[in-house]
Amino acid sequence: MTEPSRQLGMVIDLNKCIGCQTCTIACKQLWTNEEGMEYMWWNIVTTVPGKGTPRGWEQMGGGFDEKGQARTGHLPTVEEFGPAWNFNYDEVFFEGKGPTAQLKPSPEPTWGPNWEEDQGAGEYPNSYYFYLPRLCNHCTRPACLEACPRQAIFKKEENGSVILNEDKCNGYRFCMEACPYKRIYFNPKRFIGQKCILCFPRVDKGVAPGCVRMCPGRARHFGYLDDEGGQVHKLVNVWKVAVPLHPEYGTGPNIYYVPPVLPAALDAEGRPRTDVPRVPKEYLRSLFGPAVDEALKVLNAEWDRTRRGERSELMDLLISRKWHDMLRPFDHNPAQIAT
Amino acid sequence: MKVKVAKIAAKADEALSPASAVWGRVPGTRVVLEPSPLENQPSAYVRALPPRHGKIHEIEVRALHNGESLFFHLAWTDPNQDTTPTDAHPFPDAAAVMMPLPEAAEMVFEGDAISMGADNIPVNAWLWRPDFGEQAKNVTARGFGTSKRSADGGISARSEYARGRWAVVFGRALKPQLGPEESAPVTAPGKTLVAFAVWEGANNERAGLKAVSPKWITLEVAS
Repeated sequence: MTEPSRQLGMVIDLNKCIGCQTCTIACKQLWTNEEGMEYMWWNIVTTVPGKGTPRGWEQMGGGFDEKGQARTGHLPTVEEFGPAWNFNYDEVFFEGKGPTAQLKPSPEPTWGPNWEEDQGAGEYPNSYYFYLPRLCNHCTRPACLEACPRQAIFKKEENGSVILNEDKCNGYRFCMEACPYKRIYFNPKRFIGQKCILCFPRVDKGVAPGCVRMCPGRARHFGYLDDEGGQVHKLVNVWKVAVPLHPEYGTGPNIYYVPPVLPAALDAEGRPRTDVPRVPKEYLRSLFGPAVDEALKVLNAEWDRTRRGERSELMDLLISRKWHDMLRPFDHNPAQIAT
Repeated sequence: MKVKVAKIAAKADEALSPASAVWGRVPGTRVVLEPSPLENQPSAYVRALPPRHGKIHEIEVRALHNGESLFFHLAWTDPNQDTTPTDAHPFPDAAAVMMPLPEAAEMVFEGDAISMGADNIPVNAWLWRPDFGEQAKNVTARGFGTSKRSADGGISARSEYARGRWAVVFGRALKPQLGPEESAPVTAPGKTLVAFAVWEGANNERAGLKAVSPKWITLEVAS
């Protein structure tokens, strides 16, 4: 693998994600609306804690062990990802049955990509959940790339995005086994693997990926990790409040998350507790590794600063009153790009 | 080891039919297969896989030519018929016949056939999969991880699955339509080398995970 000269990264603020799936639909409309791709969600938001998609992906192996050796992984199936459901649109809308026909999926669904929406964990009144958007991590050391015997997966020299070359792919699916995040899908119609392309046709023209730009919560920051004026760099490298998902998988993921700080836990009388957070720290550590502790400390300290009426540069960064600041230099308007 | 190619005045359509009586006139050769070794695979991930591949242990090979085309009839026992995939697994079953390309002829000896050729040993394979229809792919390779496929090699293939057994017939003109860099010509009478591979899809066999005839086999073509 040739080292890319720069690396793009994304920061997703889990305190701002409202689980609306607009990112998911933006991606679907742009890239996965063809035959054979029905069940694919290159970007998906799931509620955590939960099994996610494919179901139980965190127990499916892949990535690298402590010594940097490839770990074998499970090959996820359509059923585990959650198959696309078919709906009786004709019956409901065109067959004159009025209110007697109701929209329903068939066959009876037993799993889906967002099956556990808003379930979470914990006991009332201290139950908790948050939304975790997931996509290809465009890893620094992509397990998928190393697994492919045909070198069909490469890292783009100029920005480090991980791209699967469909013309070279023979549909062997070792990448799907090796990816510990299980973000590669098999297209049975075309007999190839398919994955997030970090919207390279947009990025090449200075337009942020669809999932980033379409986010109504403005939860996503996008840019080069080494761009000292950029928000991604500041959040990841300077403030260190954005941490990668499952760093222990050993692939060096480049999608970062600002961990969630949910409302305070309540005691038996319903008063806010200050001694324990609502989301157990162990759970956040299991997702984001030990670095999440320091990230939460900084976040809470800066939050307190604003509560005292002081200015916080970090909070200003996370709020980003000028939306385009979150995307620079990928803040071009797609409507103004000549095709 | 030797596979003899009998000359029989069979029509192409007849020879391509796996159940045709014409194949009853050709003696079969039992070819023992072994799991392909993984240590030379280009992917560290594949090298680290537990060795569970190579489920098909033997095939029965028959070959004939009719003066114009060469036909191979491969048959093997496989309890699972894996055809067109609708999901990530099972993989489709597959089979291949491999011969050295002319450039390699002098380099090849009765040695290993497991590496799919090498830098200086280009090879040509005919690849059948049930989802390819009646056209096999023409493959060229110079070692693991270098294979290139094309659909225009003029290789026909027909298959039948019955009573837990696959029978697959490959057929191609002795003098191929592609050039000698891509397609191995076969002369009658003449001699060349051949090797075989079978993938058991239900066992997730694909790519280098297969059963192979480890040594080159002499292919003796009758006049």
